[in-house]
Amino acid sequence: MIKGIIKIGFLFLTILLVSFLVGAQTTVSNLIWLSSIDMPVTFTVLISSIYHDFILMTLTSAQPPLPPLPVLPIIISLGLVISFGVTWIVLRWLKTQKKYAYGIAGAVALAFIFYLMPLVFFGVDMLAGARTLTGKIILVICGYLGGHFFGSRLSKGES
Amino acid sequence: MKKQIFKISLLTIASFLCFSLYANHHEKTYKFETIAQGLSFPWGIAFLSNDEILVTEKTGKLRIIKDGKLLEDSITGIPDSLFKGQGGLEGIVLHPNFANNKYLYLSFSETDADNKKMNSLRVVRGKLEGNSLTEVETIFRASPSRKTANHYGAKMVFLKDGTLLITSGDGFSYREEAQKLDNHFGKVIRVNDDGSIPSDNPFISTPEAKPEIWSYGHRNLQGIVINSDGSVVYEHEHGPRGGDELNIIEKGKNYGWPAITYGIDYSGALISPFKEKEGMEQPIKYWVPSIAPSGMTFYDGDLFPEWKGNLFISALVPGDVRRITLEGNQAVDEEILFDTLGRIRNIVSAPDGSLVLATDSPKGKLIRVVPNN
Repeated sequence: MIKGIIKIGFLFLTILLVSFLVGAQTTVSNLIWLSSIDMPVTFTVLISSIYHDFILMTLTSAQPPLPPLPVLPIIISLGLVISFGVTWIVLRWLKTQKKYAYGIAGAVALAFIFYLMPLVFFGVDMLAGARTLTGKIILVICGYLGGHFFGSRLSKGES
Repeated sequence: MKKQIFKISLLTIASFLCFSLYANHHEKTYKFETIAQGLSFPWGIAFLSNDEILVTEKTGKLRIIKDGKLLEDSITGIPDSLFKGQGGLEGIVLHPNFANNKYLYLSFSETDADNKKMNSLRVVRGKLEGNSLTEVETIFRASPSRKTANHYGAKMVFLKDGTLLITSGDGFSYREEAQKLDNHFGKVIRVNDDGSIPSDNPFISTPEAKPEIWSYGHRNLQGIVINSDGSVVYEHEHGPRGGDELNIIEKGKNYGWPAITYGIDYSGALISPFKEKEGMEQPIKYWVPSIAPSGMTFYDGDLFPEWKGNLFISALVPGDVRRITLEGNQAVDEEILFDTLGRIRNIVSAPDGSLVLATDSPKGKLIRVVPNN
């Protein structure tokens, strides 16, 4: 029972971590572009922008045309839960380190999310950081890092 | 105690009376007359005369309303348009010398001939002869093409020197391109009436720049008009989540999008933490939250003398019209009108001084606003 609660806690932390990383990727990509056209992007601007985006993208409900929910963490949760679920089943037969297996699962989840997003949201990438191939690759890495974190927490919990 | 209750009651009744008098006064100023209904997403409106109106339907037809009747047959000879997302057959404007040369101009989104995944904004002109558009020729095509079917702009207005301004949106996913001069994303374009490039365009001698560009740094510009003497160009554009803008457009100026903005992205992310920068123009008015401005007219008619010299901006969200009072180059007051009609796609001034609205719907209406007396 307690182990189950701890696992759910790890999952919740992973969703929060991935949401933060995904948000920060969009923030940083916006700021890099702004800096390239000589806008005064300072360290303070960087920190305050990351904070702003974390609060508004992860902890606040979206507004029309998006549904009035914290859309980003909900989408990430769905992707990760499905992906981690499949991984949990696969790991019953396949012997490999959990941190790598869940890492790949996280990466696959994010790849699917950002592939499917334009199909759901008016044919466009609603997340600015996902508009380029480089951006999408970084987001997939964010998914890997989240999954890796989740897998390594599970391994530690069991040992 | 009784006296107090009596006083409060008296005050309440007086307040209600005042309020209903105020409301009645406003209600009595104007009334609506439905000119036509059953239009498929009406978008652009042009008047051949007060009782003969051309309306573009976003789904691809150019319809005629004559003496209060929507004619069954649409105008033939209209080029195929891409009806997808925010695209379709959109803007329409008559040549200033239409009475003699019969030229009308249409703007629309179009699939690329050599790559079906791409599309672009195209503007054509043709001669309206009877029920047909003939001698259709392209006078502008936005470049490069885009994958998205969003943010076309597609509004047009003739300046008093006979050149044509065309709004070209940022394509949604290409917003950074609005700050570059080598493309048509997020620009106001200026061409001659035949599509050639005026020799006094601001970037005609700038290497790599598109010579048609008149101003840049715009998002999705769905309103552009001139004042009565043609000396001022007003433009409005959709912001993202907040940050809709009303601007005065001047030659060669940078309007800042997306480097400066009063809005944030739909996801909640900052597009830019900056709201102003030297060398980038400020709007004369902005809206947070967004109203989704969809069309604009400069009112110079006689039917509503108290509204003369005001701008009227139609809004999709929540669906109303904003009457903007101008003083010099400043927007000094705003009144919300016509908020019972739903999403309003466009507003224009009719030759007789009435205002005509188009509602945004697959069964859209054209509604005339006239004085109540």
